[in-house]
Amino acid sequence: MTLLRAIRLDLKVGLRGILPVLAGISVVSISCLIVAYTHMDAVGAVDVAELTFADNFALVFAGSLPFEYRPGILFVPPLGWTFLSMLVLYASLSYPYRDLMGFGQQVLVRENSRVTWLLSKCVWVLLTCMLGCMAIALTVALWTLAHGQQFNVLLHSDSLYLAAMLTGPFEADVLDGTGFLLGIIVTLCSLSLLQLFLGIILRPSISFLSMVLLLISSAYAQTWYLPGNYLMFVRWGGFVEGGVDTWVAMMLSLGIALVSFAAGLAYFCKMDLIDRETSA
Amino acid sequence: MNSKLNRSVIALELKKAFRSPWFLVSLGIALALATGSAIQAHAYLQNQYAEHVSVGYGLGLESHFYNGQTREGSFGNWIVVEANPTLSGTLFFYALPLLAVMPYAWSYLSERKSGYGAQVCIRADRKSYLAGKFVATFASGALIALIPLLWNFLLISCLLPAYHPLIEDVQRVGLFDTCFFSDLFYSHPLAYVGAYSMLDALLMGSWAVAVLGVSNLTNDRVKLTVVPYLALFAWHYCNGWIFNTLAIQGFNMNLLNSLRSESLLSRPEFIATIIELACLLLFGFLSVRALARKEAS
Repeated sequence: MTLLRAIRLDLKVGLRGILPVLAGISVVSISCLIVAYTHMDAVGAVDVAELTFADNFALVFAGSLPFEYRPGILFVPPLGWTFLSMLVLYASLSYPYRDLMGFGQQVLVRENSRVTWLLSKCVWVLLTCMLGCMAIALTVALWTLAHGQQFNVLLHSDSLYLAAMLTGPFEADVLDGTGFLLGIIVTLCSLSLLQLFLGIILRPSISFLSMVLLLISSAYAQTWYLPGNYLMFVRWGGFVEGGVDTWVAMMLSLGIALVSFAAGLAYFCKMDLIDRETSA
Repeated sequence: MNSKLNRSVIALELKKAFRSPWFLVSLGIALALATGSAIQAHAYLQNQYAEHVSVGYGLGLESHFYNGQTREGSFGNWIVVEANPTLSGTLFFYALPLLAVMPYAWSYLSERKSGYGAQVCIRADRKSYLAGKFVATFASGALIALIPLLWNFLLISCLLPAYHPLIEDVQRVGLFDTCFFSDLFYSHPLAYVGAYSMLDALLMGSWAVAVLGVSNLTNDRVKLTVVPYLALFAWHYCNGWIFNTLAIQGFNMNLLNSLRSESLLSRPEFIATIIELACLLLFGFLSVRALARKEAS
């Protein structure tokens, strides 16, 4: 089976039932924006009309500051951010393994094309992740239009006040947000690929659990090697001194994707497909 | 003979649940996180003591009241209380609802799809087969919570002294009078450990049974395990979001908050937790009864 045929089939079959997930992603995005905009009433110093599409997108991925130890105060991750990231990852969780244990197994046995199958699944996972990001972008675009804000990729430091009541001083007042926005998409794609390969090697439910633990750990501590940090606006080094760097995000994401692919391919090519237990 | 069949089918389900590799995997992950929490809490306190010595707070090192006695003892650092909060403790409680369903909640769906369920129903009473599933799923979910909680307490008791919690430390510990069993914590802390462990075990057992009941609604094993968790997390998010947006202090009405002694987002409410527990058990029970009437294939 050629790669293109495999991808076409995966898109046809694998995207069935994705609409509820995309709807959930949109609803959570709106709720994150509502939460952020309620901070506006606190001081009123932020001119909401100056905010842009990029600001609103960043507010959806606001995240939280790293956990600061205080006696008797338990750590709670930023729930909206965590839930949104989990939904994007969930969208690409189930289909690859289900296909491996079902129709895909028959194709693999007959066509002897493991690499084609795997590449097709990688492409499908990446496309599904980007579909999730598009759902967020569409929601944010509608919000931006509804508030009469500008449709560009400029980020304003004022939006950090709405995100986490941060008042500065910041590294800049206005920046081009292309790098930050791209960093989010690339990081989510690399996490989806990591989830794919963990799902094949371990099981989908353990793979999903690993992603949840990774996200919560990222929310706890600001370190370069926890990829969730690059999904948080309040930790972005463009505005926040000592924040995370977009280039490091790209390199780390590329590294995760390559290592996942290499390890997954090596394991998958030797895997016993027939005798695999069909569990979650 | 019927009652013998009932018992043997239920016993068989229990054996299958506890001998399943998934039970061991889930328990292993939970134990690892519980161990991490104890070690992190101990390491944090050791660092604090070292800092006291390096700055020269000789009196501070001798006086346990600098940190508060409760924060330096095993009861205050038990994973449910976490007077010195740790990452592993948080990871444990967020992973627990997933870990509780991984061993056996999907077994009915799996056996139905493979045809094994139909074979059992031909040879044994279908009701006792489902009763066995209910009991085994509840027991496996409960033990996934109970064993790591007790293990964590055992470990932290080996690492830290068993200082009796003091009510004067309430601000440093974060266990206020509104928290569950707070009276017990400051008067009979060992009973507190037992009571909260049982509460978490009951909550996770009933959660696992409710997820078993969702087998009525889906044929996908991954969805069965993950979607209820997403729904739970969504409810956890809504619980905080609703009250936050309306700027009122509400009460806990979700499982993820009830599992721990404290919540930043809202006020703990025992009645709400009991209602949650009852709803989960009722849903599981009614779903299993509905499964009994459904086709076995």
